[in-house]
Amino acid sequence: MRRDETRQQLIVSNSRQASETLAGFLQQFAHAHGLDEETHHDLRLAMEEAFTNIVSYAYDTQDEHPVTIELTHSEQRLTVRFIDEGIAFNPLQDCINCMENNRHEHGGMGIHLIKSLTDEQEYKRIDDRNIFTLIKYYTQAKQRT
Amino acid sequence: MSLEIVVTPEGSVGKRIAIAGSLDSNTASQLQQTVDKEINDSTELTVLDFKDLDFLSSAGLRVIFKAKKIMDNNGGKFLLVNLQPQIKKVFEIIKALDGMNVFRNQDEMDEYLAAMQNRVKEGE
Repeated sequence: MRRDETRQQLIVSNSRQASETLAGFLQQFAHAHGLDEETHHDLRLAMEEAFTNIVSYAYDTQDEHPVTIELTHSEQRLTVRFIDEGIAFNPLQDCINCMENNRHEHGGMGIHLIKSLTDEQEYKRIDDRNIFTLIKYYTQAKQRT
Repeated sequence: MSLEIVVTPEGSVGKRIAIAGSLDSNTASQLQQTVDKEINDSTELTVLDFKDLDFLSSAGLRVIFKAKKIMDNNGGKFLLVNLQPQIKKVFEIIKALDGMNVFRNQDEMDEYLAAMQNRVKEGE
């Protein structure tokens, strides 16, 4: 971790209800780092969509499994990382042509929102774990450069 | 975050569904139940009032699009009013505002409905 970075971690179970805990975690983080409302909202929605994907697709069974969420703040950017031990699932691949047929009642909207609300997205499969990373450049940091 | 739903009559032929709080993967089913109960083939007008809605995710959008489809199929009107900027942004990203009747506020919507009424009276 770089010296100018601060990182916080949250571990929740893969249940829909946990998205509320996630929102609270982000809110504290946003408050601590003075994020503007729009950046906060964009991240909240991107996180909700990414987490819902994990809850929906990562596990075949109803058992509880841990999902780790890491928030990292540095002067230039905010990084959100989701780590789960579920079946390999690349949400970015799932999005190919996701919005082209304009059938909003079906899937694809979530990942389209994630791509629109964050600046970079990366999926990796390492040691049987899904690692999904979202990066958003922080507007105030951008203005300082 | 929770979702509050209040349904009131809208004129003599319609329903106003006011939603407050968060419409997300946890609460979307609540709105779905309301839609199932309140909107049917004979509903002529449905107004979805977003005045106190702070958060909207794709799970919520799906319910809204389904409701619009019911109204489109029965030839009724489906109107969205009082979208906060962050809610409007979500619709814009999905490029879903085309084909939706969206009104900034109540006055704008009332004007539209009055114009509709006049057209009906004039028999156009």
